[in-house]
This record gives sequence, structure tokens and C-alpha cells, in this order.
Amino acid sequence: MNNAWIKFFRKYGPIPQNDNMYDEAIRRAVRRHNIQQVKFEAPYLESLIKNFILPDPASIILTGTAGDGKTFLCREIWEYYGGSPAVWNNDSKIKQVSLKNGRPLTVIKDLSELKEDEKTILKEMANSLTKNDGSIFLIAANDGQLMEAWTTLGDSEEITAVKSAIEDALVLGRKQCGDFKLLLFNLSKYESNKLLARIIEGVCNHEGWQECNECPNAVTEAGRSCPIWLNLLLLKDPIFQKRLQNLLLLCDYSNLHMPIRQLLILIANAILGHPDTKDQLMKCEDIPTLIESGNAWLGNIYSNIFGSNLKLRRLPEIFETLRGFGIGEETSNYIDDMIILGAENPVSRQRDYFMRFIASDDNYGANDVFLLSQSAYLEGENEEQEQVFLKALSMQRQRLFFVATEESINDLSLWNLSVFHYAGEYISEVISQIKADRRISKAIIDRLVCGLNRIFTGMLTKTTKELWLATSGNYSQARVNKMVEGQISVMPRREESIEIKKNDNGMVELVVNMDRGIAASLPLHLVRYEFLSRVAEGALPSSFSRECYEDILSFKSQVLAKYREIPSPKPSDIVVHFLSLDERSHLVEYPIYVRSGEEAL
Amino acid sequence: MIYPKLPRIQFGAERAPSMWIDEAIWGHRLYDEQTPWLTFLELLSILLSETKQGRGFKEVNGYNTLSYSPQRLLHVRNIVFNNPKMKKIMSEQTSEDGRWQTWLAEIDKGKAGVEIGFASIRKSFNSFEEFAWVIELLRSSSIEGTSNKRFTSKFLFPFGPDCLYEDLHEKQFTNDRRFFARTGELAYLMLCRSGHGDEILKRLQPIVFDRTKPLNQLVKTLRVKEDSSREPHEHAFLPYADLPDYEALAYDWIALLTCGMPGYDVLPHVVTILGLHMLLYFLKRGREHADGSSEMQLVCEIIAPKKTVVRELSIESYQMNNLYSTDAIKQYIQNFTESDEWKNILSAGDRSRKAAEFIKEKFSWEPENLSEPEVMLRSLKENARNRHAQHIGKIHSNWARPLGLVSRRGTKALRYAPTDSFLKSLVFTVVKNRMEFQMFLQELYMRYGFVIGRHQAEATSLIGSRKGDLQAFKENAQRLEMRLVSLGLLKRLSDACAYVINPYTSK
Repeated sequence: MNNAWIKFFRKYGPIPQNDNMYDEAIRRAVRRHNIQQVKFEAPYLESLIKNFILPDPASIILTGTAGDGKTFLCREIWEYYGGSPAVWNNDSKIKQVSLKNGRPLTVIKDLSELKEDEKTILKEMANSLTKNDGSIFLIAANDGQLMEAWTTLGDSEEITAVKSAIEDALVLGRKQCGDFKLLLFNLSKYESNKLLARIIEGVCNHEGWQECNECPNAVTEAGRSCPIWLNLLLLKDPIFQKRLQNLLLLCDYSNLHMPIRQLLILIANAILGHPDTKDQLMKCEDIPTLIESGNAWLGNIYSNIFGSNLKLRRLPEIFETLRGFGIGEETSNYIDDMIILGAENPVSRQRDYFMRFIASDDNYGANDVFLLSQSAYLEGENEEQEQVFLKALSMQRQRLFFVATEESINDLSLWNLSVFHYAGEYISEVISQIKADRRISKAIIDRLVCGLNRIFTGMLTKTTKELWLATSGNYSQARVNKMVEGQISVMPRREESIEIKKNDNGMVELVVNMDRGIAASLPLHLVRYEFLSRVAEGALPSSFSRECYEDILSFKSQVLAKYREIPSPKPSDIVVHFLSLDERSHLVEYPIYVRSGEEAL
Repeated sequence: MIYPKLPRIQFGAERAPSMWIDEAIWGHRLYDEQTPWLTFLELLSILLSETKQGRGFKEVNGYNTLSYSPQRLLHVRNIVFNNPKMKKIMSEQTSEDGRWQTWLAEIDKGKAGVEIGFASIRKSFNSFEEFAWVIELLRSSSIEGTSNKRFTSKFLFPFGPDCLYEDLHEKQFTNDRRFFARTGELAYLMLCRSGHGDEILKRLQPIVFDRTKPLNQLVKTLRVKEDSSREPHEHAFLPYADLPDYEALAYDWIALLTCGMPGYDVLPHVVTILGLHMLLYFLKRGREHADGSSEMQLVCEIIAPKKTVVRELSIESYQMNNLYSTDAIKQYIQNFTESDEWKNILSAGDRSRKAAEFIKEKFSWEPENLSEPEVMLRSLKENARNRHAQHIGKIHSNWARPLGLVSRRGTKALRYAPTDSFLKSLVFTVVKNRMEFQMFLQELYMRYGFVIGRHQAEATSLIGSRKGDLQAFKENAQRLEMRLVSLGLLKRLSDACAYVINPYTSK
């Protein structure tokens, strides 16, 4: 069998000529081969159309990283308003099309393509925005080029005002640019996990796969199965999809945005990846040889997700990011015992898990290679076998992460397979709660406060009722801080409280509320959440992660600066508040009173 | 160009420096062993004295007329730094009376430079243990407190005006200019002439001159009244009435002092930036006198795991800059000997005596024996070079290292390779709210001559336009980006756009 769609789909993958990553190239290929591209709803398209049908539409800047779909959106709008494909494909970089109300829309699909003299169009734009004369623009540019283009235009009043409005919107994550009739759509703000779901759906439902049903290799029989066909089947598994989406969700809430192009690379590689083929991506012709060699299983979707098949000098960003979770390398004794001891495990619960999650799949789970190397490893036969098994073990951990059922997650402590042990909790108890506008549990806030207290004071405390602010006397960033500045109640008291909530950009933040409406906030992304939790659990802050430690110390200094804005009465005596721990490891204050000498100086 | 110099000041016979060459170029005087912190403390003790006279950061009597009387506070210094047995007494004596009595006996035995005893201190504290805690706190936060310097060269952290005093000889209790060697005087005069003295005083006052701060009050209780009838300190000399560098220093200080850092946290950065400006002052005056240019380029390697082109260029640029001050001395003497006056002397009848007089007048130096002018000149040059090499010539390396600007990590030679804490100080100083990363690199180049990225490298004559070199600088800048990210000081929007953030001022 030779499925033309698979050949086409391959071009979405991480290959040097991944033509399908560019809107321009896809259009050409679609025309030439008469194959439908992967279809999914593009983010923001609807909002764009809604804006342009208004009687008085706003101008729009589309920004984002490379591969976010800026050109695609511009073209969709162009075609929606009847712009001709021929004009679209010609060399002019500044194009015009009439909106329904007859007003012209100026479209620049890539600001960086403009020549120096053409950039004056931005001056016109600044002038017309300032005068609000009703001219309408749609401009696409990645964020770096966008700011650079404005910077090179000089510093007339209009340009400076428009530039700084755009910069504010960009850095602060806002849509509205100052008071101008101008909206900034930052495609990088779109949640990648939502997009991923649509892309998976678009890929799985593509008509091209139907041809595979006729193929003799479309079987599940161990060792005879086509890995492409099998991977597609596994991609449709809701548990797999949810786990993968969760990883992307964690990225989204950590400000690690994955553009469309990267998500397409991910899915194409997940299905087609195999280390022993050209460009490490399978074609139909490869399949018989792979099955014959007995190594077809190496192209399994669970390893492909992390780009393990790839031999590129520089991995695409998506794989670098996903590898950052450490899945495959991290583990717990419980899980490793379960996989290693296998069917012979004396602990029945572990044995059950093995049978359910590993032994049940004889293609990618307990296949012959695995079973053979496992028994060799257990019997300690030789080092070579040991290496084979350790590699297989790592692959089984990756696989387990994507196949373990929801109800087994806690019992297995499934997230111990990643570097973020608290990631599961962060999703279910923080992100989900925030999205549903529900309160975060007290236990979680307590734990984070405990972590903050340990870092802020440098003492191994268990205090969770208040957040303590202490310095070394002359420095707030010292390792150990024994002079009390003050404390802030965690439970609401007067105006004080500590809460976790959604900020204006929909992200999670920890807010320290102080009297007089003063507050300091810390964006609480996964790395910080994990760090504070681990410190509360007993990890030493500066040795666990210096980067995180510095980061939280910088937050401390912001809290302190805010705290000192609150006026406090000057005490009549000289009191120095020392900080120490009581026998239950709670922070206590030890005031020392000093009587001033009588002699006037 | 060489900026015009102010007239030389007059010294009493026994106080005059043995030569007037280093002093003519850099002032009276820069000193390598006076670290940036000690420079800052000297400056503060001058400022306190002058502020009491109502003339903080003002030269009311004209250029180079500074006359001030710093505090000495020997009583406090004995308690904090000349009192090593408190812990031992705490563990050996159990009764309150026993502890105090033993301690009083001990400190009386070892006290130095003070007449009044220490018995009255007990009234201020509830217990000896609390007293010991407080002293330990003061000691652990002090400057040079843990060094093995003499106790009169250890300094309390500047919690307030009652913590400021001058460096003293440990037996004679006079200022022997060992560690307060007048570098602080020069820094003080620079700020006087910066045009922003009032503003800086206003910003510094609440941090270092607030009597009511708890720790200052605490030190105050340890003080006794001291005899202030001493001869004031004089003879500070900063040779230039006006330099762009003075305002640059003031501008940086104001940026730091207004960025909203809590409490005393800003002071380490203020000290670093002071040190950096003093270092640049040293290098620039050196270069001006050596080859007439005031431009400084410091190629900074953001430390790479292995050898790079940037590392080599950084070593080269360090070594080149290191030569300017010695060349300056040579050129300074040379300029005089090319004058008609000197040439006339050479052809005059009484040439040896006239030459000796000329040398005395221009360089304040007397040759041991009267001899041929050329011989005396050679001797002058040699003496000047040796004198320069002893201390002033070492400023570049001795200051840049504690600042965190220069390092030997991974190499045998010194090079510019800034540390994290130095980078932090730069960000807090240069960035108000936020600044685009490339602009930040350019700003560092414009202000301090730091060459980090490719655009700055292109602007210098240090590198050829070889593509590989520029690529190396591009990677150097990328390493800086990574470092700033890890310090929480950089926000990356995408692979094309990043902002350096000052967390204290950003919204």
C-alpha cells in the first residue's frame, strides 16, 4: 500500500523541507496533489470577522511567534472580503480590500517584508489613529519585528504615543492599545492545549486515513502491526489525549506558548516517528521492512511525543519543552518496582497494575524485547542486556504516563514520573479551580506559605498562619534573617490575607494583601508552585534551585517594599524584634527592649 | 583631550605628598586598598560632618576647600569589635551578676583609646544574654567585621548617623590614612560638583541619616559623649572642576535611590555603582593623559563554558586598559620636558640647579643629589613609575575584582567577566521599569563602555568584521539573556523579543 496522504502529512513533521508549515506552501501543495490540508478552527478568526463587520471597526495588529498562523488569518480575512488569490500571491506587500461597508482595509501580512520606504505606511497609520480618521489596518508581524519597525520610524509625537501603547499592550498582555481604535491580538496568548485538541481532531478525522483500512498491516497482532496505523489508533485514546493536553496546559499556565506550527510537528512526529527511517519519519514503503526487522515498536507514539526518534542537531522547540518535564528519566521506587518485577511481583497491587497497564499491550508494552531484557536484567546476566533493559524501562515509564487510568493517578503518584511532583495537583486543585472561579483549598495555601516563610526567614519553620517578613538587619536578601519586620495574616484579618486567584490575563497568582489596600502579587506558575511545595516538604531552597531561590527572594523584596508603605507608629522604647523557632518549629518573635542612655549627645 | 585642572593645593611642610604626579592626574588621592565599601563609608562620614555644618555636598568656600571633622565613636567600637569574649563569658558564668562583672573586667583590661568605663551599659539591657545577642547582630552585619584587620578598621553597617566614624590607627588613634585614604573625599567632591548634590542628599538622608531607625538607636545607647575639639581634616584635592563623569555618577545613584528598594537593600548596589564610576574615572583620566582619548571599551565575557573569541578579546581589552595609567605617568612627565622652559634649562649655564628647581616646582620632588638634568629626569621617571606601581597602578585589578567586574575563572589571565550580583546592580541602575534587551546592551555601552553584543562589538575597533567574531558576540549576548532570565530580570516575549525588567519599578 502506498497512501498519498501519508506522504503529504509527513511534510508537517520535523523534516528540513517541512513545507506544510507555511500557509503559502500548503496552498500550492493542496492545488497540486488535490489533497485536503489538516483542517481545524483557527484561533481568533471569528473575533477578527466580528470586528470587521462592525460599522466602525478597529484596526488590528496580529502578533505572535513564528508559526502562530498570522499569514493564515490575514489570507482568510482577505478571501472573506472577496480579495482575489492572484492579488494575494503577487509581489505587493501592502494590499487593499473593501470591507462590507465599502471602506478600504489595508492588509500587511508580514511587516518584516516591507522595504524601508514602504514602512512609512506605519507613519500614516499612526497619524490616522491619532486623528481617528476611520482608516482601517490589519497588520501581522512577530513581536520583535513589530517593536523594531516602530523604533526605526523616529520619534514624532504620534509615533511615540502609538508605539508605547502597543508596547504596553504587548508586555502587559492587553488587547486594547491605549485610547486608540486599535486592538492587539497576540496569538501567543492563545491556549495551546485547546488548539492541540482541535488539531488532533483535525488529523484523526482526515479522510486520507480511510485508505489505511484496506491495508494488510492494519492489524493489532503483536509484531505484525503497522506502527503508523497503531499510533493513530492510540492517538484517539481519550486518556492519551488528556495527558498530552495536560502537559500543554501546564506550559500555557507557565507562559510557555507553543505555536500551531510546533503542534503540527508534534502530532505528525507522534504518528510517523521512527528512529530507523529516513528523516526519522515513516512512509508506507518503510513498514514491511520495519515489521520484518522486529523493531517496528521503536516507532511508538509514547516515545515519539518527546522526539526520541529524532537525530536532529537542534530539536524543534516543542520537543525541548516537553522533554523539560523529564518524563522517562524521573520515577519512583513504587513505579519502577512495578515495571521491573512485572508478573512475578509478590505485591499483588503492583502486579495488578503491571498486568493492566503494561502486559495488556504486547506491541508497545510487554513485547518480546521487553520481556526478554527484563528477565535478563532480573537474573543479572550481562551489562549489555542491562543497558537494553534500562532503555526499555525508560520507554515504559513514558508509556505508563500516557496510559494509566484517571483513578490510578493518585495511587501510583503518576506525576512522580515527571520533575514536577505537584503538577497533577496544580492542574486539578489550582488551574481547574481558578477557571471555575472557585476557592483554592486552605491546605494548599498553607503549604505555599510555609515554603515562603522558610525562604523569607532562612529557618526551617512550619508556620502557616502568617507570612513573616524578616531581614538580617541590613539586608533583606540574606540567607538567614533574624530581625522581624512584620507579619501578614494568611486568613483574612483587617485587610490582610493571602490568596491564590486569577489575574487579569487569566493566569494564576498568589496575592499578599496588606492594610490600606496595598498588595504584592506573585505569578504562580508551575515551577514556582513546585519549588514552594518542595521547600515546604523539606528541600533546601538554595540547593534545590538557585534560580527559583533568587526569584522568590526578589518577590520578598517587593513584599517588603510594599509593607513599608504602610505607616506605623514610632515606638517610644527601642525594640529590636528577634526571630526564633519554638519547640514546634513555629516562628516566634522575641522582642529585646533597650533603654536609651541618659546622656544627651 | 585632557580636561583643565584646578590649581594645586598648599600643604604644610610635613604633610605634602612626596611627589605630585599621580595626584595631579587623579587627585589626592585614589588608593587601591580602600575598597568601594570603605570609600562609601568615608564619604558618608564626611557627608555627616558637612551636613551638620549645613553644607552637605556643597563646596561653599571654593574648590578643594573641604574641611571636616568625622566622628570617632571609640567607645562603641571597643564594645563591638574589641570585645571577643562574650560567648565564653555566657557559657562559663551562669549568674547575671557574674556575667556582667566578668565582662566589665575583661573589656576594661583590653579597652583602647577610651577613658570612660562601660559600667553604665548594664542599665540599658534586661539581661546580659540580650546584650550579647545585640552585639552579635551588629558584628555579623558589619563591614570588614570578620576580616583580620585592626579593630579600628572595622566598621558598623551604616544603620544611621550614630554608626558612622573614621578609620584610625590602633595605638595613636589618629587617621593614618590606612584604609580611609581620601578616596572617599574624592567621591564626595565628585558628587559636590555633579550638580545633583541636593537631590542625592535628600534621597540618602532617610536611609543613612535617620536617627530614629531602631538599629541606629540601639548603637546610640552604646555611645558616650566624645571630645570633638580636634583639628579638622583638610587637603582633599579633586583636580577637575567639571567632568561629565560626575553627573553620570549622580544620575546612576539617583536612579538606584528612587527605585523603591526596601530599607538598606539599595546600599550594596550604590556601593557597586560608586566603585564602577571610580574605576572608570581612574581608567579614563589615565587614557586621556596617555593618548588624549577619553573613550573606554571594556569587552565583557558573559562566562562561557569554554574558550571563545570573546574571552580572548576580553583578556586583550583588560590588558590594554591596564597599561593606560602607567603610560599616563610617562606622558605627563614627557609633556613638561618637551616644554621650552625645560629646553632653555638644558642650555643654561647653571643647568643642574635650575633643572632641580624645575623638577621641584612641577613635580614636588627633590632628587637625592644634584646631578646632570638628564640623570635627575631619569631618576624622577623611575621613582614616579615605582611609586605608581605600588598602589595607584593596582586600582584596576584591586577594585574591579570585589566589584564583580573582573574574574580569572577558567583562565590564567584577568578579564572582564561580570558576576550575577554586578549584573543585578547594572539592571537596577540602568533600567527604569523595562527596557528592550538590545537597547539595554547599547545603554551599557554608552554609559560604561561595556561591549557585550554584536552591535557594540561592531562599533569598536577591537574586532575585525569577521563573521565568526560577530557570531561570538551574538552568543555572548544570548548568554547574558539566559543569566538575566535566571535572575528573574528578563521577560522573553518570543524568540525575537525580550525585555529587561527592573522588578522594583515595573508595573
